[in-house]
Amino acid sequence: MHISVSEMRRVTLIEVSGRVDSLSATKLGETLNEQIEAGHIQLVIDLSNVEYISSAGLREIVSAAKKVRSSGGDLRIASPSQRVRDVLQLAGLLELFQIFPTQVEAVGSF
Amino acid sequence: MPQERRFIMQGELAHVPEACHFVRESARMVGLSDKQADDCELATEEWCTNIIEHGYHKHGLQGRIEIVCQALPSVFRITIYDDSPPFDPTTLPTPDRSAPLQDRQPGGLGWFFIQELMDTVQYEYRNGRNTLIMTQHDPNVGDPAPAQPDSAFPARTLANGVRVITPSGRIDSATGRQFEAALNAQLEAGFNRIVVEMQSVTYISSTGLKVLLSALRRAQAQGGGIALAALTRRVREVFELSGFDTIFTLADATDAAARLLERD
Repeated sequence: MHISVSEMRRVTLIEVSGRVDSLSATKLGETLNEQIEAGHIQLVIDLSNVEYISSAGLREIVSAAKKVRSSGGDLRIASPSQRVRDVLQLAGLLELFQIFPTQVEAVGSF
Repeated sequence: MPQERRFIMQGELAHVPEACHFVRESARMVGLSDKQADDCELATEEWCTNIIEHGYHKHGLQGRIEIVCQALPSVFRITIYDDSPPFDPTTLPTPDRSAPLQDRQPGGLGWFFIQELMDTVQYEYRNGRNTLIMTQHDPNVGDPAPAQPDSAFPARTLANGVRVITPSGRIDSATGRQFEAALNAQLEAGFNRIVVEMQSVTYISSTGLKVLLSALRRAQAQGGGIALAALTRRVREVFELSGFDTIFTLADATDAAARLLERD
């Protein structure tokens, strides 16, 4: 798994690629937490290059989303693959997130 | 794949991707779809992670995880053994998937996923080991005479430009896709006059016939054709019974088959 973080004017964009599994999820959680602790609460997580995600990865995303929402921010998801979308659906999370087909739309939504 | 494949690993998160790869590969070898292989892979990670985090590490233990994949009639079975203290997942609460985000609890999702992703899931504490048995059903799995795993279809070109491809063993639902891919590769490479040498093909199923038919249609659409050479008696009977002997050009020998394609 690889993560890159870009700070934009109103939004912090977190682009993730590769496998988000029980091993790599911790790193994703740490990255998200660093951003939140730095006061960045408008987050876009771009999952277009994530080929695989397990419940461990979802846990980190849910936990970060709870934190930013309780501070008045949001975490929005850009372009998940069908496989990732299926896993979100299975977890009953699809309706709880704003999901955008492209990164541009997700960033522009704030 | 062989009837059974076995994988043993140290129970550490760093090895879980290897377990996933092993199960995914086994699932594909027996002919499960990509989606089914995806589901097996995810279920495997979820259970192995449970074992490592809640079985071993929480108790300050280290241990192994053993995974056995089996091709049974119509069923692909994954059995995962570990030596951590007895842990019956069926007592876990079901996560509330309709709860709003703020009320979502971490955890519990993994076991829920496993139950949703697999057709059957069964836990036992057997011979001092946690044993999880999961299955996916697929009519293609566990052919009583397993197909040859060999995916190579040797091909050569004759002086008159006719391409010859030589499959061997069984052409059935397990190997049909590989054969189709091999034929398509020839067609895509521009070879539209093809002789399929059948002397080493011991059996062909309706899937195999369909693969040949669709390749024939593609070859004809490109102005070419497909002829079959040197069928064994058993395979020829399949063609005769299905009426496919009237659709395909059949010949006793490769050269004769190639000449028939020239005249076409």
